[in-house]
Amino acid sequence: MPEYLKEINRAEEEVNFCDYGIQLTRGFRALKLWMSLKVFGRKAFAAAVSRGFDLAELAENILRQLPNWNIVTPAQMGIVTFRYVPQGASAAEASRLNERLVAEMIRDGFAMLSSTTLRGDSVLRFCPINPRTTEADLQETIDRLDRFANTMR
Amino acid sequence: MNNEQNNYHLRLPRDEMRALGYRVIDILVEHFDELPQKPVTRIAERAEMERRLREPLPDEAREVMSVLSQLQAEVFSHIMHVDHPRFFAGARESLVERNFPHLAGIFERDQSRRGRGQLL
Repeated sequence: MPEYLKEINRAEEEVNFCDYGIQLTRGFRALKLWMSLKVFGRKAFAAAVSRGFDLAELAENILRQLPNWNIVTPAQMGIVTFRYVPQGASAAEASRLNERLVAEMIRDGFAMLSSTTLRGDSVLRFCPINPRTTEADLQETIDRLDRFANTMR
Repeated sequence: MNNEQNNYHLRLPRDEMRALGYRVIDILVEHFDELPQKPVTRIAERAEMERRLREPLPDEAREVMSVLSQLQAEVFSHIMHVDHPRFFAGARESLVERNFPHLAGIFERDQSRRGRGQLL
């Protein structure tokens, strides 16, 4: 054993997680969890998680009522994936359109979504798990998506 | 910051530390307060950012508040706010990382860091 490791091997009274990593150092990441749970309490975090799940379901319901928007995977654990498919568009055309939508949303700056590929098709992802996201935030974001999509086609 | 001597202790005077701390807490409170009214992100051209990225390594000390101003004007203004209520692009930040107290905790931690034998 190298000399510099002998010192940490000696300590038996303390458990220092920093000694268990290759770097022999480590950020105090658990402090965030400890401090936040102490200040807000478990119930508030449970409610915040549930709210994120509810908002994803709300996004799904709003999208289901709009023409040309398809739900690809229903809301589960705070994530819903969906896709704009105008009538007559091929799968490849729809994929390109959805990728352009992400770029257009970033340029617009109001909201930020990401895309992913599911079964070969580009889809959009809604992950509304910020506890301070409002229903109006969701509605306005979907309104913009719909508006941009309709002008692009 | 004292420019006359080489500050090899890498230490700020008490008053400056305090002033910096108060200013930072104001910035944090404003951030959480005003974030919903701000864009989630602002994109910039590569050429526009290049000038800011390529500034020379500073040999001399600079007044800390002016560095903070630069941080606000050139970095925070273009940051992608993953803690924004309309950032829907995934769970890069946990609930814990999106709230205020942990920031206070980190601040305290840095004040009294012991390095080893930490609580957690």
